[in-house]
Amino acid sequence: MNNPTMTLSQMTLSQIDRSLKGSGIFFVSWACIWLLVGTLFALITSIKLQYPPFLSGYEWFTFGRVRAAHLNVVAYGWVNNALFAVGLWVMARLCKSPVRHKGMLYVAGSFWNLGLLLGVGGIFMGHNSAVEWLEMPTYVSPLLAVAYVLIGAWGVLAFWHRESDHVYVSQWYLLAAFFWFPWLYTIVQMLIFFTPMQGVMQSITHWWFAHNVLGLWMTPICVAIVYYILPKVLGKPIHSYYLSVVGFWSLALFYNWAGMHHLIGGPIPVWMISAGIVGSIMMFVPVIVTAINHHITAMGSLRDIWNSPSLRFIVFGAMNYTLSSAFGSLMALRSFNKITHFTHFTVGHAHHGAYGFVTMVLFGGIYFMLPRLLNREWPSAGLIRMHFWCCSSGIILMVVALSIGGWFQGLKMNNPNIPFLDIVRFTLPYLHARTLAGLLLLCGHVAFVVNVVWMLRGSYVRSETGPTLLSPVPNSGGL
Amino acid sequence: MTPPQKPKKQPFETAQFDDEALHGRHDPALPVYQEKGEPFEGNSEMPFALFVAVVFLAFGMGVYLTRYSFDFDFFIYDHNKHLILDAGSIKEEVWDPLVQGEKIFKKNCTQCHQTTGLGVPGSYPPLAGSSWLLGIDAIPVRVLLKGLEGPIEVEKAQFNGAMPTFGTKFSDKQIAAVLSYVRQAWGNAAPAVQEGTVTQIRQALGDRSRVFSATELMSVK
Repeated sequence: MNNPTMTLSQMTLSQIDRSLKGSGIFFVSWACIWLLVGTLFALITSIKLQYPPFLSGYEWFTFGRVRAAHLNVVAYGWVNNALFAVGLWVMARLCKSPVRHKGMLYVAGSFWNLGLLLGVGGIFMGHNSAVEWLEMPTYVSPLLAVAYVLIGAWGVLAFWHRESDHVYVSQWYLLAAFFWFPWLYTIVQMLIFFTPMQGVMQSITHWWFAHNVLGLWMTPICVAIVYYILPKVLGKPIHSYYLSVVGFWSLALFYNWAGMHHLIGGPIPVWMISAGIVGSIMMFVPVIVTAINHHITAMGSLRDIWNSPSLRFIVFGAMNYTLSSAFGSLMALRSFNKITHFTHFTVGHAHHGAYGFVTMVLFGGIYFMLPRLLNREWPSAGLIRMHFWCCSSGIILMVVALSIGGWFQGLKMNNPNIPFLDIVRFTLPYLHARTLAGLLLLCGHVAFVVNVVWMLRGSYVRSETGPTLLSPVPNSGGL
Repeated sequence: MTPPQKPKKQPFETAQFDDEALHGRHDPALPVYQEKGEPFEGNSEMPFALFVAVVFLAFGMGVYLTRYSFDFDFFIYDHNKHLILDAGSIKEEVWDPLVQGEKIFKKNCTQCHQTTGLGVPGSYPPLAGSSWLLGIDAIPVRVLLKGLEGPIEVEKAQFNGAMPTFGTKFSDKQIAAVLSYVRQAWGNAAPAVQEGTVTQIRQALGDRSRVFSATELMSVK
C-alpha cells in the first residue's frame, strides 16, 4: 500500500464505501428532492387548516389530496430513500464485506422512486384509497413491493456474505427490519386491497400495518444507526451487550401489538385492544433499556457530541425516541386516549416520532456517511449549524404547540356543552404555531440540501483539511 | 464560519493526477482515516433495579390482560362488559312508536318540515296544527306511502310542491311510528296510527305508481 498508515480494516471500509458510492448518492439525492417537495405539501396542508380558502379553487390541491401527498412523500420518499441509503451502508460496513451485485440496488431504487412518482401523481388525480399510510393507488403497489423485496433481499445478502465474526447489535435490528417490512407491506396490500377481508378486520390489519411502519421498519433501522454512529464517533464501546439484547427482543416482541391502541373505542373485540394496550405499555422496556444504554455510552463526551454534526443530530433524535415513545405508551391508556384521540395531540405525536426521532437520526446518518462515500468533507459548517437550529427549534415548537392545543381541544370536545365551532376557533393559534414551525423546518431543509448539492458538485472545498466540525475547538478526530 | 473557497479549475488534459487520485485511494486527511475503530459492546450487566422494574411492569400488565381480555371472547366489545354481542342473551328491544317515530322524523323529514314542525312558509307546509295530518289517519298514511304533488291549501296558506314517496323505504311499522309521533308532537293531539291500518291501506293501493293530489285526497273517507 502506498500509505503505510492505512490498516487492513481501513482498506476494507474504504472498499465498502466505494462499492456503495453510486447507489448511496442515488438514494440520498432522491431523498433530498422528496424532502423539499414533502415540506412544501406540508406547508400547504397546514395553511389550509388555518385558512381554508387557500388554493381551494384547484381540485388537485384540496385538503384530502395534499395531506395524503404530504404523508406519502415524506414517509416513503424522504424517510425510506434515506433509510435504504444509510441502513444498507451501516449493514455493509458491519458485515465487513463490499457490496455484491450493485446493479440490483439501482433497479430497486428506480422501481421505488418511479412507483412513488406515479403514486403521488395518482393521489393528486384523486385515485387515492381511503386507508391512511396506504393512500397511493393500488396500481403502484406492485412496483413498491418489488422494490421493498429487492432492498430487503439485498440487506439479507450482505449479511449472508459477512466476514465479521461477531454480529453487532445494529446488525440484529437491520436484519430484522429487512425481513419485517416487505412482509408487512405485502400482507397489508393483499388483505386490504387485492383480496379484501370483511369489515373491521380491515381496520385491524390497517392499524397493525400503519403503526408498524414506524415500529418495525423506521425505528429498528434508526436505532441501528444510533448504535453504530454513537460509539463509532466517540471511540468508546456501547455500554452493555446485555441491555442491547433485552432492548432488541422486547421491541420485537411488543411493538407488533401496539397498533391496536388506535382503535380504542372502536367496534372490535375488546381483548385485541387490551392486548394492544399491554403491548404499548410494555414498550417502556425496550425504550428505557435502549435509552440507558445510549445515555451511559454518551456520558462524559458532551463536547464531542456537540461538535460533531452527525452526533448532534443523532443524540437529539435518540432523546426524542425516548420522549415520544413514553408519550406514545401513555396515549395507549384508555383514560389518556379518551382525551387525545381525534385531536391535534396525535398529529403532534406522529411528528415527534417521525421527525424528532427518525428524520433527525437520518440527517445525522447522512452527515456521517456522505463524506465517506464521496471522499470529501462537508463544504459549510455554517449551513450545518443553521440546519440543526432551524430543525430542532421547529420540531420542538410544533410538538409543544400541537400537544398543548390538542390536549385542551380533547378536553373541550369531551364536554358536550361547548359548541364544536368554538373548539375549532380555540385551536387556531396552535395551528398558526405549526405553520411557523413548518417554515423553520423548510429553512433547515434548504440549508441541508444546499450543502448536499455543493458537496456532490465538489464546487466548494474547505480550506483546512480534516472533518467539518461545528466548533473551532480542536477535536481528537472523527466526525 | 469560514467562507468556502472555489478550487482552481484545470482543463482535463493538463490536470495533475497522481496515483492516489487515479486509484481513488484515501488521502490520510480524509474521513476514513480519521474515524475510530468499528463499534463493539461492553459487558456491563443489566442494573438490578432495572430488572426489578421490568419484572414489576410485566406482572402489572399480566394482571391487566387477565382482567380485560375476558378469555379472548370475540363477542365482548368494551372493557366494562356493557356491550356484549351474544345472540342467546340479546333482549328484544322494546318498540316504543313515539321514540322510534321521533328518530325516523329527525333523520328524514326535518329538512323540509323542520324540527319545529312549522315547515317553511311559502315552500313547505307545516305539520303542527295541520288539519290534513290531524284528521282521519287514512290521508297521511296515503301521502307517506305514495307521495303528494301539486297545489294544496294548508291552514289558509297555499303551497305547490312535491312530497316524496316513503312507501318503499319504510315498513308499515315504521310509517305507523313516525305518523304517531307527528300527530302528537308540538301540541298536536290526534290518536296514534296503528300498524294494521297502514298494512290495510298499502294492500288496497296495490302497485299504484301515481302520486296523490290534494283533490284526490279530499275524497278519501
